[in-house]
Amino acid sequence: MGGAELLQGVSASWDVEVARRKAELLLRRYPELQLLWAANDTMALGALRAVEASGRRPGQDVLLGGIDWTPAALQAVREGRLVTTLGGHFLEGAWALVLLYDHHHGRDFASEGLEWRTSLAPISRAEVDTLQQLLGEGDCAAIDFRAFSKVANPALTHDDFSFRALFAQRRLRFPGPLLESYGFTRPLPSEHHP
Amino acid sequence: MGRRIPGNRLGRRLLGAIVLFSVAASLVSTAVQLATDYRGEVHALEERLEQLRLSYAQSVAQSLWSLDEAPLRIQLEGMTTLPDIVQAEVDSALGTHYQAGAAPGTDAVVRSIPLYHGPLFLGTLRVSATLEGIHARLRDRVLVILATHAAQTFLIALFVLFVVQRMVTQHLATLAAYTRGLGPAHLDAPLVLRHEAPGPAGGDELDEVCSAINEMRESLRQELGERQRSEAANALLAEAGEVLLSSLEMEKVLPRVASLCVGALADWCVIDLLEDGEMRRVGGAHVDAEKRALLGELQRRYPPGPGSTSPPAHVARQGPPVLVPHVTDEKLRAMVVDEAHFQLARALGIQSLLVVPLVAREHRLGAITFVSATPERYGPAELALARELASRAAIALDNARLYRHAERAIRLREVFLSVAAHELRTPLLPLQLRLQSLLRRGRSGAALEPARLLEEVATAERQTRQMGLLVDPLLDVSQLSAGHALELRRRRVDLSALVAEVLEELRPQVEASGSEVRRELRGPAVGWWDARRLEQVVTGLVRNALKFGEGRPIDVRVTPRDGAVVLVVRDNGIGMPEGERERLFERFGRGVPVRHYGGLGLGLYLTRQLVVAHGGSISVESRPGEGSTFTVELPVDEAPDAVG
Repeated sequence: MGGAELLQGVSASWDVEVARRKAELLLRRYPELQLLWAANDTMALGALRAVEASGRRPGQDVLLGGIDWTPAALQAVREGRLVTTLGGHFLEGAWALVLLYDHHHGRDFASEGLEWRTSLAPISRAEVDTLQQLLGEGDCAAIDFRAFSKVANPALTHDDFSFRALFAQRRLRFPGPLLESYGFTRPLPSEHHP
Repeated sequence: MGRRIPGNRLGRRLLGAIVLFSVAASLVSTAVQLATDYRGEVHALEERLEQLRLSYAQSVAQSLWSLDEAPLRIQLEGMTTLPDIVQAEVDSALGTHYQAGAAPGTDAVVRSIPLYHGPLFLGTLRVSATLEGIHARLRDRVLVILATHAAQTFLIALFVLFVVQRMVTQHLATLAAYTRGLGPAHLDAPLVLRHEAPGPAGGDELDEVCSAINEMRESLRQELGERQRSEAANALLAEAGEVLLSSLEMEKVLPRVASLCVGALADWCVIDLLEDGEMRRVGGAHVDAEKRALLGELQRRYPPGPGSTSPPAHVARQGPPVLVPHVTDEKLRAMVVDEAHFQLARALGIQSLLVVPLVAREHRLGAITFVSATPERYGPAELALARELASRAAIALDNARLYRHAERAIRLREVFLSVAAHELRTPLLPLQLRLQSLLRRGRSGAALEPARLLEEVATAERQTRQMGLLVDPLLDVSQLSAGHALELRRRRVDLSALVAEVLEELRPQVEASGSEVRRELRGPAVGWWDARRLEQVVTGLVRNALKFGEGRPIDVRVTPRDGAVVLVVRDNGIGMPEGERERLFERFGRGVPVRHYGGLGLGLYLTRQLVVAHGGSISVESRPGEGSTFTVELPVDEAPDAVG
C-alpha cells in the first residue's frame, strides 16, 4: 500500500454504536473509502459492523484497524476482519506498580530515569495467537510480574520491561517484528547509571 | 342663561357624527397600522431567519460534517425554541433526515439554507416559521388599538360636546329664549350673549347672529315706534276732526283743538286767525296749568300786530311752515320784540318750534304754532302731522266762513225781497188810488174835465215810469246773476255833456233834496261808451249823493286825464265806516240801515258792474259824518271796432 490520504477524522465518543453510525455515514460520504482507523477497538468493531452492513469486504475492500488489543478485536484480527489492533500500552500500569513495589522495598528507580515512554505494538493476523498465549485469558493473568522486580530478583540490575523480557519470562517463541515495535523507549541513564 | 335645549340635541347629533366618523377613521388607520405592523413583523421574521442562517447554519454544517447527529438534533431543537420557528429540519446529502418541531400549518414561511463544508455540499437546512404568532399578536394589537381609539374618541367627543355646549348650544338656547320672549315690551333690551366683548378680529358666527337679531329688533322697534307715532297721529287727527266738525263756531272749536294738541304734539300751542289782514289769537293752551296765565300775558303784551315779524304772523301772511328743531337763544332773540318778551317765551318753555299756516282754497286763514320745551322735539314727521292738522282745521274754518257767507247772503236776499216789495209797493199805491178814483168817477157818470184827466193820466204815467226805473236794475242784475255779460252799445259820447243832461233831468229831485249841486265839467271828455249805461251810472251816483247828502252841497266833477276820464261825485252827508265800503258795491249791500233809507241796494252794485264792463274802475272814500266821494275812471282809448 502506498501513501494514505486522510479523508476525514470524526469523533465517535469511544462508543461502538456511534462508531458504527458514523462509519456508515462516512461510507456514504466517501464511497471510495479504503481505510478506517479507530482510536480504540470498540469503535473499530463498530465501524467494522458498518463496513460489513454496507456489503463491503473488510480486510479487502476496506482496511480497518484499532487500538487496545481487546479480545474481540484480536479475534477479529484473527478472522481477518480487522487488519490490526495496536496495544501494550496498558502494561504501563503494571510497570508502574513494579517500580512502586521496588521503591517501597528500598529500591529507588531514579537511576532508571524518571521519564517513561511506551510505543504501541501492532498485532497482525500472524501474531495474534502468540500474543494471546503471552497475555493469557483476560487481564494478563498469565504474566508473573514478580520476575521484573529488582527486590524480588536481586540479580536484576536494570529494569527491562520489553517484549523481549516478557516473552522470555513466558518462555515463548519470540515473534521477531514485535521486538522491534514494543518496549519502553527511555533515554539511557548514562549520568545516573553507576 | 336661558332655557336649555332639552338633552343638547345638537351636541348629541354632533357626538354621533364624530363617533361615526371616528369609527371609520379608526378602522382605516388601524388597518393601515396593522398592515404596516404585519409587514414589519414579517420582515422581522425574515431577519430572524437570516440571523438563523448566519448563526446556526455554520454549526449545523459543522455537526453535519462531523456527522454528530445528536448535537445536530439538539441544535435543531434549539432552533424551534426561537419565536415563531416551528420546525427545523435538515436533509443531508447523505440521505439522512433530521427534524425538530411539528409541521407548520398553512401560514408559514420556509427558509432553505444550503450547508457546505468548504466546497462540499452537506445538505439543506430548512427552517419553517409560522405566521400564526404574528397573527395572534396583531389580533391582540387590534384590540389594544381599537380600545385606545375608542377611548380617545370618547374623550374627544366628550370634550367636543363640552365645547359645543359651552360655545354654541347654551348660546343657541339663549337666542331661542330671547327670541321667544321678544315682545313689544322687550324691544328695548338688546340680546347679549356673553359679557366679554368680541376680540379685535371680530366676533364669531354667533355674534353675527346676535347682531342680526339685534338689528332686526332695532328695526322692529323703529317700525313699532313709527306705527305708534302714526297711530297717535291718526288718533289726534281723528279727534281733532271730530272737534272741528262738532260746531261751526270756530271761536269755540279752535281752543279745543289747541288743547288737544297740547300734550300730544306740543307743550303749548296757540292758534291765530288772519282776519282782514289782522292777526287774532283765538286759541291757546299750555300743558302746565300754571303757565296758562303767561300765555294770556304773552297775548296781551305782544299781540302779533301788523308788520309783526313773529313766526306765527309771518307764516300766516305769506310764509311756508317754519320748523325750528332747536330754538337757541340767538334764534329766539330774532323772534322776540324785547328782553321781557324773550324772558316770557323762555318762561313758557320754548326749545323746539313748529308753525304751520292755515290755508284753504289758497286763502290764508291763519297759523297754528306748536311749541315744545324739549329740544329736537320736532322733525319732518311732526311737520307732516301738523300740516295735516292745519289743513283740516283750515277746511273747517273755511267751511264755517262759507257757511256764514251763505247765511248772510240768504239773509240779504230776504231783506232785499221785503225791501223790494216795499219799494215797488210805494209808487204802486198812489197809482192804484188815482186809477180807482178815475174809475169811480167814470162809473158815477160825473163829467171829467179833459184837463184834469190829462193831468191824472200824466201823473200815472210818471208813476209807472218810476216803477220801471225800479224794475230795470232788477232785470239787469238778474241778467248779470244768470251769467250774461252786459251788452254795451258803444258810440262817441261826451261825458261832460251827458252829466249835464242827467243833472237837468234830475232837477226836480235835486230841488226836493235841498242840496246844491256844484258842477265842474271840464270838457270835452269824449270816449267810446254806451251812453244809456253811463247815464245809469251818473244817475245812480247823483241819486245816491242826494239820498245820503243830508241836504248839503254835492260836487260833481268830470276831468279828462291821460287816456281816461275821471268822474267824481262827492257828498258831505252821513258817510260810512271803513268796514262798510267794500260791501257797498256788493249785491243787496248797503252802507246804512234799510229802515232809514229806501232803495233796493242794487244801485251801486250795478254801477260798478257797468263801469267794469267799460274797462273802468270805481272807488269810494268815506268817513262817518264827513260824506263820501265816489270816483269813476273810464278809459277813452277804446278801439272803434270794439263797438258792439
